[in-house]
Parts: sequence; structure tokens; C-alpha cells
Amino acid sequence: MYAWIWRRLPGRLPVRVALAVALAAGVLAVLWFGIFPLVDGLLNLEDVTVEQPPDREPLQYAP
Amino acid sequence: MTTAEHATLAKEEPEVWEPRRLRVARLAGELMLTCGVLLVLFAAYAVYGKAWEMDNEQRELGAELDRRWASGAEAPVSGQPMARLHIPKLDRRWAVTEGVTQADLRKGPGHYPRTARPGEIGNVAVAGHRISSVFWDLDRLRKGDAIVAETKTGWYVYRVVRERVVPPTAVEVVAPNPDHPDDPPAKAMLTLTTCNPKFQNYQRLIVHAELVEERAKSEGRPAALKKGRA
Repeated sequence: MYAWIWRRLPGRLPVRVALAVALAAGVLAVLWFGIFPLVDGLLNLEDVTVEQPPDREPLQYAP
Repeated sequence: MTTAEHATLAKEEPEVWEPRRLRVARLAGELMLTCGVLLVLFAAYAVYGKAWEMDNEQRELGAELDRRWASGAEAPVSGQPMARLHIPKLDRRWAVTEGVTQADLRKGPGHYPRTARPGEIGNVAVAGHRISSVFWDLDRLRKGDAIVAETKTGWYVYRVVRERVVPPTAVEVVAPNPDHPDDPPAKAMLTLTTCNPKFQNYQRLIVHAELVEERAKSEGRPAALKKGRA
């Protein structure tokens, strides 16, 4: 897979290295700013509040 | 395989020719490595990326809070900053959002709606994530440590009285009177809730504090805050 991508990069070696780095950076940016926040929201691992169990009378808060 | 066959293959695929089995194995290996790298990256995001996002949100929220205080805007509604919270021992301060939805808590600590406001008799309940930029070190607080709430008009110094670990359904910890949930409130208290243990969320770490000092903004910062910069 990676060899396949490498073979399709045009130009001489320095150009290819630069293109490969740019490609990796682009993929990382998409993951970090797009995919990861989305996945994190779906996982919902970060519930930190105390909540009413559904089978109990709601507790009365002070107004 | 004849030389002619080799020649045709070479024409179709200029790359080095490999048996099919080897190619499949290579692809599977590369995919597995990629999955491993992705998981490590996601873990890095969960620790550093989210802390960084929250620091940015806190900067904006803090600026909004200062603007609101300066302009005399009306009481904050859900999603707006309602107060500032300082914990000198942890050298931290945050702008607290009104509300505890996932969206509110992405910006920093959140104030449980319908619980008391700083200084009032009752229980100021605040939730926050157990991440480095929020309540990560909450377990380091001990009895007597100061938690200071700052509003437009005053400083409210609370001292930690109790720390406990409860199941996520223990709503009585944010009741107006957390010690006796069925009785009306008698003291001005402040309660922080976060997940416990770290990186998991099957329990809640609870810190209760009691109001010990109240001073107007004009009287200057309380002594509890003077040492640290938070």
C-alpha cells in the first residue's frame, strides 16, 4: 500500500520525500481536527455529572 | 513461467513482481500497522488535543466573562460564563459555564443549572472533566484547601470539608443540603464533581467545601489567592 503510493509520487527523490511528508501532514490534520473530535463525541467516555436514575423520583433542587 | 509471460506482467505492472500471497500478507501487515498508529494518535489526541482545545475555549470564555462583567449584562443563560473558579493549591483558574451538557463541558467546568450561585445558602454544584486542563488533580485537594469563586461583585472563599467517591447516580451530592438531602439547606456549600478513576467513568469523585469568607470586589483579592497567581 505504502510502496504503491510511493511509486505514484512524481519527480526526483527530494520532491517525492517532500510530497510524502505533505501527504502525511494532511492526513494527520484531517484526523486531528475532523475525525478524532467526531469519534470522541460518539464514544461519550467523558460523562462527569451525577444523574438521576430513571427509576427514581426527581430530586427537588432549591430554586 | 516463460520469459514472454514475465515480459507481459512487467508491462502491466512496472513495479517488482511478487507472488500474490506475499502481496496480501504485506497489505495485511501494513493495514495492521496503520491501525496501531491510528490508535496511538487517538490516545495522543484524547490527552493533548482536547486539553489544547479546552485551553482555547477557556481563553475565549474568560474574555467573554470579563466583557459581561464590564457591561453589566443580565444573568447568564445556558452556555454562557457565570463565574470564575480558582483553586490556589492546584494553581488553576477557570471560567465556569452555566450548564452541564457535553457541549458546555467542552469549554471547561460547568455549573449545574438550578443549584445555588456563589455565596448563596445551598450548594453551588460544578462538574468538570478529569483531564489535565480541568479537574485532573482534584484528588490532591485535602480538608481545609481553598476553592475561591469570583463573581462580578464579590469573592467567595470555600474550604474543602469532605472528599468522597460515589456511583454516578448519587444525585444527592448536588442537593441543596448534600449531607441531609431531604432537609432544607442550612449552609452555603460548593461541590465539585468529576469522573473517577482517571480515564474511566464508572464512579464520580466529589469534593464538598463550605463558605468561610465573603468579600466585595472593592476590598481586593482574598488572602487565600494572594500567594498563587491563580
